[in-house]
Amino acid sequence: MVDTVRTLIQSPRTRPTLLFTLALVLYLAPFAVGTEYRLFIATQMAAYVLVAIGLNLLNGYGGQVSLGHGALVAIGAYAVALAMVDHQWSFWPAALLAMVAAAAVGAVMALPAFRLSTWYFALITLGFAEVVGGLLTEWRELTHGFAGVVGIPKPAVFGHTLTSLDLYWFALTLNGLALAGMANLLRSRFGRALVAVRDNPVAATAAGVSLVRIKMMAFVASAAMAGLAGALFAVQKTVVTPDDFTADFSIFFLLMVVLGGAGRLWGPVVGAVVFFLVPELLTALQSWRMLIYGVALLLLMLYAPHGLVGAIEAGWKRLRTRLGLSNIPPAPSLAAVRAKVEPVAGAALSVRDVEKRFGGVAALAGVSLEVAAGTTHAIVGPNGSGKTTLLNMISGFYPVDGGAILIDGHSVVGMAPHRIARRGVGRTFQTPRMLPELSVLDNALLGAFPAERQGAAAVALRLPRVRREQQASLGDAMRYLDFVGLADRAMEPAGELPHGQQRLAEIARALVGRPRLLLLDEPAAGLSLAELDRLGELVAAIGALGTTVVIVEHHLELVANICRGVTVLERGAVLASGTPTEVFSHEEVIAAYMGSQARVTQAAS
Amino acid sequence: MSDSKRPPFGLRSDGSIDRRDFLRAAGRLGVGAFGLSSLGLAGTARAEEPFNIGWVRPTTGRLASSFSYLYIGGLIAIEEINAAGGIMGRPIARVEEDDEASPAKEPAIVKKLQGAGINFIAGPTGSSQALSSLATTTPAKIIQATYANGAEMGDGKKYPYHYQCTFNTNQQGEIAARYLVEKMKLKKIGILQENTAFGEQATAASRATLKKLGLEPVKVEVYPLNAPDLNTYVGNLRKAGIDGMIAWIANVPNAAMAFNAMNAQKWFPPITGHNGLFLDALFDLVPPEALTNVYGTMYRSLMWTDSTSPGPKQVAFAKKVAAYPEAKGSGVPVANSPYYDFLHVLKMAIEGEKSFEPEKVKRALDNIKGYQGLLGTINFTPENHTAIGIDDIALASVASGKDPKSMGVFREMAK
Amino acid sequence: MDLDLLVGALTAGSLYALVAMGFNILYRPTNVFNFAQGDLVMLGAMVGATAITMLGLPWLVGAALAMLAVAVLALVEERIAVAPVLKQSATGHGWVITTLAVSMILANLVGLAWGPDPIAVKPPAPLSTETFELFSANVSSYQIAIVVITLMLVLGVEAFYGTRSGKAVLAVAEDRDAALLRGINPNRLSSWSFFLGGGVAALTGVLAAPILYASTGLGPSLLLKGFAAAAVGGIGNNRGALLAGYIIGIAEAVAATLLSPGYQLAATFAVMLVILLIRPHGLFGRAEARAV
Repeated sequence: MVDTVRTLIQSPRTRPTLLFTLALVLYLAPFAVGTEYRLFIATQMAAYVLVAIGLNLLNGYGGQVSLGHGALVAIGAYAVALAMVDHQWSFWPAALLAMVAAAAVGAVMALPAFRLSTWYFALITLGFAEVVGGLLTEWRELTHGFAGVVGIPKPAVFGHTLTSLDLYWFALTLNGLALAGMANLLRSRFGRALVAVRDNPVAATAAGVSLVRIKMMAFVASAAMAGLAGALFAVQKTVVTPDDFTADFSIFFLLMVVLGGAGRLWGPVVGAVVFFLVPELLTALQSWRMLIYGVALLLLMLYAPHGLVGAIEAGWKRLRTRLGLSNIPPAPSLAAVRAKVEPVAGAALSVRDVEKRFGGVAALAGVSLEVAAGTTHAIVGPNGSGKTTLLNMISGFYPVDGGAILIDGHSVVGMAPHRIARRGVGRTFQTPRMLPELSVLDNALLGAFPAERQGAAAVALRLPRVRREQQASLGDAMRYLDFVGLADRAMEPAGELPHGQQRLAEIARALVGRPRLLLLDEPAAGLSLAELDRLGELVAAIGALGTTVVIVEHHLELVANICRGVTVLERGAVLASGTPTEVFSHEEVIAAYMGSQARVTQAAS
Repeated sequence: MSDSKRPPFGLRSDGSIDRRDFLRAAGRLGVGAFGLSSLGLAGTARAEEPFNIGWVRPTTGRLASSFSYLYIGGLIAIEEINAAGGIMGRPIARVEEDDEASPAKEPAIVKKLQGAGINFIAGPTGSSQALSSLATTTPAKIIQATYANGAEMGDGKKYPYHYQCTFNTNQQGEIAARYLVEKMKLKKIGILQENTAFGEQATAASRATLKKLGLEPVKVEVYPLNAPDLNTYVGNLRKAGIDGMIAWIANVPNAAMAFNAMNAQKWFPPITGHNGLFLDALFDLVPPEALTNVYGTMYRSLMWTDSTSPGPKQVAFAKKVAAYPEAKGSGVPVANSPYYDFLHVLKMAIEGEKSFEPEKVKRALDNIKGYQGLLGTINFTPENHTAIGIDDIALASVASGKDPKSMGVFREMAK
Repeated sequence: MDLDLLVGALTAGSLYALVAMGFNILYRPTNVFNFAQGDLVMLGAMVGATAITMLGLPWLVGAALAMLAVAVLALVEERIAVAPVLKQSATGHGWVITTLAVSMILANLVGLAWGPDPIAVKPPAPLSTETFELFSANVSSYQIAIVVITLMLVLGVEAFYGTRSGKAVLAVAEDRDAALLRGINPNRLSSWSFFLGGGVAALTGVLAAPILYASTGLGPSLLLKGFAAAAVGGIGNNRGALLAGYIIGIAEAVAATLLSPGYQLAATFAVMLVILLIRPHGLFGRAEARAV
């Protein structure tokens, strides 16, 4: 019996079969248990699910809180209502108008998000929703004011007016398409970038993701879905008034998303079902219903903090473990991957008289260094000497207060960090910046973000050229994971890796972007002796490919073995510069940095 | 209560239903309460089977407590009718649905009630809610009375199955304007209006009347419902030099703010306005000198003058209202709501046609003439579904609410 | 601009600032926005109104009763709706739902218990809402009292944050783990902050009652404006909240004179937006140092 269950769970045919059965049941259910009322509720629920799916993209995956999506639904509903009633449009172009109008307003609503932190922005969206509500009544020549728009006709296809059953099927189909498109989007570079924006924006930027563009994309996508839902809402209800869209309405969608499971694909569906069914089940206790409901909500969130889908997933994982099944999916086969890692044309780095001040403190006071293309260079110095600051300035995370930084002769001063990343500068951080919930492979794939070129629409539709591109990136990612020695742990959640291996995974991510200049910030910190050796070999191998490597380090043996040049910083200024041999026998360096008793063993010169 | 004495279908005297009993009994009949199509119960019912009416009101949500007492008139009517044997021997049973005062919920509720074979609905309350509900009940040919005073709800061509058993906002607007101009001989009229559908319609009606009388309002001030105070708006009206004000304010906090603003500015023009001004709570919030010149629109049948008093039907009603604790302080809105007259008129129509079929009942309703209802003489025609004529409406003094003659429900007619 | 309107604006603004202060007190150690704050204010108003008007208790007693009741309720909210969620995930959004759920529960309970009618509350003698002339403006002694009390409260609370306990709260807000290491107990601080925040909310409600009327509609409008004042002032900063409250009150009053209601809302919102865009952390908020 257990064996049968185990086989069923592991079979690749199970999931599609289940989905197909679910679809069948949903489409055919009206013939068995359909009443006008149930069809109506189901269609309304489907419209709300559409909004929730879009909001889940924005909030669950992207971490942006919007309390104004009700207003976007209102815009979609009014667009359809006014177009169909006042201008006799057919439903289909009106629905398109609804999506475009809502998307446009969503884009405007998103603009403050780039300046404001999350909770300030949430307030703005709430205010926005109230303003839209106010304007709906104010612009009465356009919107019919308080009276609202009445008599919205049902959609018609080739002369056939849709019945409630047809409308239900239409809504169901929309939901199916939305879920499928969303799944494709989330499994692509956009999904990863969005999660990075939420969990580790710095890592996203270092991988070349423009935070502004991704957030805007998420906004516009979710707004368009809200607009479409509004269109459905309008034709189902046949009357839209400003009172339909209160502030509670907006908050309600966020509740649906978080309760169902923010950041889980099926979260919106589960959330909507719960929101619609639970009050129905409680009708017996009319006035106490909302009270009970609030209490239930409270209890649910206390015991299911990742929402219902999160709770179900956790339970599912436990079940699998009990059955002796692993929770780690199988990694893609290495055999499909190209055999060789290709060489890179390294970039030359030139730093001239760079200065950095924090308040009154001069962190860097005129630092210069030159790194020839394809060489490995180290920056060493005591803590607080400005090493990481320098790295941050080269990669664009800190603005430059004076001096010049040139990569391959082009100045990068004043360039946004993600643009610098796209020019072929990869980096790692002192503390590995991973996306803990995603797999190691997904983390590595984040590095492929700039390389992939297919747009969001193509990705959502999973066109063949998208699939080819994704296969190529997958191959790259696996190859580099193999290169750093993590291929066998590719599918584990990155957060569960030990520190040293997270380091390696971060390096792999940087490599996937095929950097011409790689900046490593104290990669050896916290590594064991064996890991140190491995790291040295790895950096040497990277250098051998042709990549210019700049490494900030404390482990001088490592530096001496692999670097052609070394720059010693002390208190924001260059103390010495040259080959390892020269620098480490420099008296001042020995005294200042290593203390009078330390000695450096040198490898064969 | 022993089992044999239990009323059939779980029906209680006020028309409420014990849900479990109802479902059990309905199940015995082979008809599910929700889910299976109606078996045309309406025409073939046995004598003591209850006559189900949809009862749509908010029991949860922010407006639940404000709207709850508006249905008391209906409860009283049901009790009266059931005590007299029901309609054609069938007691009235309420099938309650909570609309949370949200227009978005109305269509679903109508479908649900429809699925349960119900053809008559009382409620919802509120104009957006009514509009939403009507969009679904009209094509479904469900006979309905909502509590919404917008003039279009009384349009028998637009909403042929809806009966507006109250006056409408156009009439209110007209009466309020006429009183100031014709009775008090004032020429400079200002309007203070809340920013809602009601306010807008009432102002439009007042303007139209003033125009007919050859006047324009000197100033119209529209304020948002969540204003922290109304000093600006009142001040603007005062500075415009008006000598009479029409106030379209429907809730007590705003009304209190308006009067307190006038009090602070030591300015007490005569005011006519909405029957929301009659709530007793206003007396606690506003000094009495601010209310001496304030009049609200109301039904003549609920007024007394020096020489007349409300009739026995109205007095009996007022006494019954006093038995409901939640009606305390809100007697006027309780009386002004449509459900009492609607149910009695419905009974008359059904018994006249000897049928519960909506089309036949509609025919009867459309031809009601001269029925003496609680609120006045009720007349319907196929085109006009507003029950009350303008002659049956007048203005009454707000301050007279303190007079014991008011019995919580009546007011003195304005002199 | 009419001086009378300025007085009204400052009074309303003081109330918004008080709501914002309640938010800030709760927010500091927990980084949680209490969506139930408006309902706490409303509950304070209703309890106070019942005690003062219906039971005839002296104003101070009624206010104290309201503050105690709501403070305890806020503490309960923290214990069952906030702390457990924060413990599970310090960065998650779970508390959005739980505080919203609390708001739902409170709103329904208050509605069931009190009904829709507003309860009149008279200001404590010798204050009154009758106006008199002061520098050619019509003010009431109560309005002056509100403005003064608000100022005193803000200064008082700011002084508190200068003390050891106050600094401890700031430490927890900055870095919970580091505070732990220094022997500060973040949980107790969170509980106390909710207690205090609830008390301030109740006081706000009682103070607002004579002007805004103690009714079940009080909560929602104050929530958004208080939230706005907190954000514009810089979340966590009470002096900022005071200034922001005044700004919003004045913007509202000016808009009321010039614009129709739909545009009033848009105008006040625009003012708030412009301020936040120029200073993304509010007028007095501090930007966090970039952590790279």
